[in-house]
Amino acid sequence: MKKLIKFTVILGVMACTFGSLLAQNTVSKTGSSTGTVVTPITLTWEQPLAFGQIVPSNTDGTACIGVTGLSVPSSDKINETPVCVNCTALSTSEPNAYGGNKFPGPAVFEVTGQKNWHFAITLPANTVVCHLIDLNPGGAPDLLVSSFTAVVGSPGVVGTHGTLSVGIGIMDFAVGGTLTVPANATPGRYQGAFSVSVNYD
Amino acid sequence: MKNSIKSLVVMAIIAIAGTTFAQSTGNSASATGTANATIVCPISLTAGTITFGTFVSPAAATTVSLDNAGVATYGAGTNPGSQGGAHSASTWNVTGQGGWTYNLTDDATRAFTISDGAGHTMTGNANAPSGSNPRTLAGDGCNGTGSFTQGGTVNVGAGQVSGTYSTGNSGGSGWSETVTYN
Repeated sequence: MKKLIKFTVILGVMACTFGSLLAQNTVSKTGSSTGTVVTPITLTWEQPLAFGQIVPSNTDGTACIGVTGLSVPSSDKINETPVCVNCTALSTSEPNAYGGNKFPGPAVFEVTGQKNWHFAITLPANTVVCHLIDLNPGGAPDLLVSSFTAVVGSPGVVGTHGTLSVGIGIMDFAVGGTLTVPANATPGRYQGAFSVSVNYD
Repeated sequence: MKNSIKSLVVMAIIAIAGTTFAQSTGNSASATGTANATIVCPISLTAGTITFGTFVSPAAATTVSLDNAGVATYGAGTNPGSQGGAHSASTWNVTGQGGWTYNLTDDATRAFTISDGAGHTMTGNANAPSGSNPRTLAGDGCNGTGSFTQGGTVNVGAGQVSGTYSTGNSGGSGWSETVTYN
């Protein structure tokens, strides 16, 4: 009988324990989540990389539109005469029989997106060139553009990083480059395209 | 309370959408720009020569002049009469982009020295060129042309030694004119 009582006590303890565990199965919890909406980044081309009117010489040369020292105010245009080596860049306008740009200057792009977010610019690599095609009948050898460089904002910062600090999230940047001017290059208008991209970084 | 619940539901959906969007195309963008250049025909200039012709060595220093049309004015004692041969102002030719304008510049004195190559010289000055800036190249494409003329005055010494004098001889020197697209 003494042994039987002991056994009953043990069972009672076990029963209480099981009862408590069954009671926890009715408790519920509420999960939560958060998220932040950001404005997508966009890139708009505003102004061509224009080397203007170049007079070649009888020696191979280059015409460079640099960006050092430039400021790029939002939605502004920049005029800059290229620095010529073995060629001459005409700085003033003339009626142009080939319809070229009157005023030389760097390309300008506008970036929009989330206010104060920063971004990186990807330029055509130095080893990639932009072929310019003579639009005149008869054609001519292509000219090439290489060594693209960028300057961001105003005051301008040379490089490939910027912050969307203007207005609701805007920043402009300029892109310069170097045009090859072969000796005695065929007169005419040359044009080509190049791609630039930006991404939040 | 009912409105409050609706708001919460909407916000949750936006949060999910935003998270997805930021990881896709919205975090990068690209654009294509153009590059252009215009190669223009080089401008060139071919120099002219003032030809004073033949004249007589004077007893006293004087001058012989040609206007820009080549009409001569002889100082005392130099007139060769009908035996002086041809004389003419210089004609300079310009070629370049037809329809474009250019300016002509020089050092304003346009001084020259002509020499017989044997130590005898005469100095002088070319006239200001005919026409005025800006000047226009007539024609199309690279076949644009222009020209101007220039006479001058040469100083002839008393008893100037006879001979053929030229800027091209040893001891001689010319002057420069420069054309530049505007």
